[in-house]
Amino acid sequence: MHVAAPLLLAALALTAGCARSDGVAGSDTSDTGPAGLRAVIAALCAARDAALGGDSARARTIFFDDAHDRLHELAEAASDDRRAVARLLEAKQRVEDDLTTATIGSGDDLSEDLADLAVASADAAEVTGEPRPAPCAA
Amino acid sequence: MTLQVPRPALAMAASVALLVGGCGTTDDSGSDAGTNGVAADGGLAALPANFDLAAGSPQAFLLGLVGPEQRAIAYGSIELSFAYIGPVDQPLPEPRSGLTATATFLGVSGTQVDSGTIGPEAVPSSQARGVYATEPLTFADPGFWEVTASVNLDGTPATATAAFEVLPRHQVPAVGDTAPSTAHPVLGDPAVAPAAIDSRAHTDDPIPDPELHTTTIAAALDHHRPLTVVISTPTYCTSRFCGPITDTVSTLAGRYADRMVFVHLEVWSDFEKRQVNPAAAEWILSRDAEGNEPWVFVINRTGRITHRFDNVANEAVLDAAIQEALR
Repeated sequence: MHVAAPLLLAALALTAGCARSDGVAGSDTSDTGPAGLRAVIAALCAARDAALGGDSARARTIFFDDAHDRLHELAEAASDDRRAVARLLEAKQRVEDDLTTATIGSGDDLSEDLADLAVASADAAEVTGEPRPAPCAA
Repeated sequence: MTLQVPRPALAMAASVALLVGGCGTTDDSGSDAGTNGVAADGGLAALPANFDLAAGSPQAFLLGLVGPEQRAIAYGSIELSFAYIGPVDQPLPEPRSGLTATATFLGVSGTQVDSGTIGPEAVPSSQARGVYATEPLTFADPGFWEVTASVNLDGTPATATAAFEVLPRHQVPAVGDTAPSTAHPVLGDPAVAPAAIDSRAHTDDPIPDPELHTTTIAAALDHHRPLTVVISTPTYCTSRFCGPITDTVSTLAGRYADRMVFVHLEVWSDFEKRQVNPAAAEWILSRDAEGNEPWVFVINRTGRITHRFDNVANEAVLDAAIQEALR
């Protein structure tokens, strides 16, 4: 679809007040800013830890509640680097496949794929110009 | 063929929605109004999710709702009111209202939604993801429209407003059109990389749904076979509402294989090089369309498209469409 023409945008520019859901302003809190990137890596690492502990259901909950949407935003933010985005989306798809397969594979498969996704996310974060988030603890 | 595929309409609609909400994210990464700032009226953000609405053409209107802290709004039904803002280059002095509709929650593919669950409710994404869908609606005029969703969350009324575009005519083949007679590679074609047939296929992973790659659309139409076509990229989907739609179509193929042909067209022949499969392009990049995905088309034995689903569909709605097409 075509994006709004400037004239229309002017017509649409209403003045309703708005605030972030976390109530904090500034780029650092955006989901593709440093705090958001640290949050997504932290979520992936927490999901990996849950999978390592054999709790695939908890890994799934953490992944979809705290990482999934932010990964889409990260992919969008890094979209100029197709290679980084490809690796990110491929790693994400493997995790989703692990999580939606009727008989979830071994916790090792899931935990490894989550760890790989954390690395791919850090790689994608770098291409957005943000500092590379720290990896999951060993 | 190398094509530059524009960003999904959803992201664009979300950007417009942000403006309607008075919030300032104008960069085109604003694909998530819920996190990027719309928090007026109880922290509710509205995300129009259709790809190809056209004036005078009935189609289900799809609207995603996101609550505070990225929680999905799910279950039950909501009330929508629409207003015509005006042609793209000539907004009306005042929006013209009048059209209203009820929309019911439609879970993304691969999710199970108990229709008896009371809603709407703000839930974690792990519990439910989807959009609210109306029965087919007709927008009389092309241009920009505004939708206002009214919901009651835990006894608190909330509203969210977003803008969307209605085109003069469809850019993607629509209900009633003759399906394009598309030739495309099938399983085992030595000239095509498996990942260009399904993006999930890699050296160690074969094409996961081989039954969707045994015949071509052209052959099915030539033999007057009804068919279902899913155009998707399971690996590289970027829509917020991505679900395992290809797997869902595969499940339906198992159910109806004796009466219908099922085909998956992978969007990308090479994602990194931005190369779109010509067969997919014939459907989603002709007529100035923008290459959004996923799409599902159901086609009857005369070659007419009887149903089409943009962005969000699930097994229940696809099954019902297939049964109608087979009558």
